Amino acid sequence: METREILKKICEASYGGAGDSETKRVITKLIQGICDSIRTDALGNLICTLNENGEGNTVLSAHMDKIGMTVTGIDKLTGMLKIDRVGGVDIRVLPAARVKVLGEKTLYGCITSTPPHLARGDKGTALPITELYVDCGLSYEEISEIVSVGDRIEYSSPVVPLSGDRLSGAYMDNSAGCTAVIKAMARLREDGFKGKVTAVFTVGEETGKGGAQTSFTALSPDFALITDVSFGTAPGIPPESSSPLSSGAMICISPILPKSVSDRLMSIASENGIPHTAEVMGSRTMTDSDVAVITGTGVPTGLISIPLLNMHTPVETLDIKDVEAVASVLYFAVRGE
Amino acid sequence: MFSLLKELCLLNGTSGREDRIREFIISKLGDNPYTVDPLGNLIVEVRGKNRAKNKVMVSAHMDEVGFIATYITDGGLIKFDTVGGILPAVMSGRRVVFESGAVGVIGVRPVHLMSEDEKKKLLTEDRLYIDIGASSREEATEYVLPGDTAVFLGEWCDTGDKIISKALDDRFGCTLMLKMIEEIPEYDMTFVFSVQEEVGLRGAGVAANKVRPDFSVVLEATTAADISGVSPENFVCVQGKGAVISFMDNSTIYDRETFKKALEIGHKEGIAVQVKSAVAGGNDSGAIHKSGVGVKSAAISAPCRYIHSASCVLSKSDILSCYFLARALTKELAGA
Repeated sequence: METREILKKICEASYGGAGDSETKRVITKLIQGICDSIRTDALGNLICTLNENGEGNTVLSAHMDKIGMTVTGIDKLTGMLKIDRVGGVDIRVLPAARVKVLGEKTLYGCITSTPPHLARGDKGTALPITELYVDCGLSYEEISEIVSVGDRIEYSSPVVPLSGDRLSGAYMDNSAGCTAVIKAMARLREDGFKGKVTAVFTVGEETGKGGAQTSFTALSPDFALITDVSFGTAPGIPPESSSPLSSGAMICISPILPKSVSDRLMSIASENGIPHTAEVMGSRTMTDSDVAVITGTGVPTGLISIPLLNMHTPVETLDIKDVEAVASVLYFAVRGE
Repeated sequence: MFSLLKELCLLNGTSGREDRIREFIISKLGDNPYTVDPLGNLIVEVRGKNRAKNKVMVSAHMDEVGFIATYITDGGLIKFDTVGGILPAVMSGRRVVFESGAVGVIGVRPVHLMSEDEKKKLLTEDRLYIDIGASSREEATEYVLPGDTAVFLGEWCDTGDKIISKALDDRFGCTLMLKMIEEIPEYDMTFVFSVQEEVGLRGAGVAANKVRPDFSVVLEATTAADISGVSPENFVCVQGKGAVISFMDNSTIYDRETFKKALEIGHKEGIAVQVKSAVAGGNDSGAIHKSGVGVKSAAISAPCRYIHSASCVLSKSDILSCYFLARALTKELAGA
């Protein structure tokens, strides 16, 4: 399947939480023909192994959870939903955003926004999320039948092509990483790769990284690569903390990740002509790799990222070629050449 | 002991780049068996004169605070991130050295060109840069690539009782451990030279997962604020008054019994000890005590002025107190 098709499917599948979710079903379907065993663990991580009895114990991992909001109450007067954040939602972009409410059935709605005519006070300050509501156009009685406190709300913002190889929509973070892992696994399978390699699609990355903690502890890999999105260069985002879109895979160098792994990834990318840049950080990477590398007695872990614009908004934007570059680095790194 | 400390302090290795420190320490281990784990922790199992009743893990971290190059400008200046907590005030106008040996300075705009307001404001990291003397990106990248690290340029100064140097935090602890190993401890003991303490206590917990000790004793340098302009209740600890024992800091509530035992031993054996008088800072105990199914932990620290700068100050008498206390406490814990 085309990379952009895979990406679109995962982006547009609702997540809703770490239990049974559309996102998990979509990924399962995409990887079914590739891996020999597929299972989930107590927290809901999706663990897919190729060659269970093969040599080595490599893990390729990407988080599949998605940021969003959760219902904290229903306003009796208007039927609108009170909400709070799940993960680092950018509250500045919430007013008037399109959302889906994952209740008994999926409802579509939008977030309230005070009309400019009535807006009072400081126009320079974003409203706190507790002053925003989701409007699904239903009365309290109607919506109470479908929606309960604790249900998730996610952006409804399908993937659209921009010019060239760029795509924009909600949940590139981290459907893009999941896509890269699936592509790499497919290529390993096609190649007849004999070693044991496990694709882990983690839960909870946006809310404390518990999924990576437990899955890596259980799997105890001897080598692991994690893929996520990172910052693309844009006005206000300086080059020392970002890489331009279309510049390929961002290979992380950080004091908390073994330098030998970063070095190896850099040379694999160079030798195979895969476009890449170094992404340097002074400490934590704010990805699953922060916890994965210090599970058990230590896991040699690398982090490869896809440059992304407008992170945690409904218009996350990337270049599909960068996703393919990351998939190639993962593939060559596992093959060990 | 102090010549060994000097050698260790003058080696360069920030978090994640402890290789040179580790190699040096390995060269001093003699026949003691050791392993290096995937993160680079050096774990040394030392056979003592007697078999231990309890497994005791003594540790100190090898890394020092430093800098990492994030981007090189067209003009050849190096943008950087700090590795570990370094205040902008102590980095502006200092010299640093990269892994390649290239020396750079952390430049600031001349004070003459600043407005009155600017003069008083501290520079933040995003405004600072390292100048290695290159005039273009091409020239700079011959010596430094993004991802390369630097540390404060080492200048050792011995003023009699006091030592001034970079990296005393925690090469001092490494020195004490090498001395304890060389001496052959009374009981079997595990020594861990850990990595990545300065970026969030990331190495020691992993090592402890492997060692699975009953007791942990961390040897560290801790902030001493016993300087002019600070009122005595905020000193935290005082230089010259001996080994510092912690009951609680930002990372750990220490095992009460072990804490009391350390104090008792100090008093009984005439070793100068003082109790850390503030709940501040943290050390590898924070990761170790939560490792596995839990580890009873103690920390013995030397009072260090101007910690995390190019000019850390330790007192030799405190270093010796820490050494004697570490030896006595670990013996007690292992044999009891």
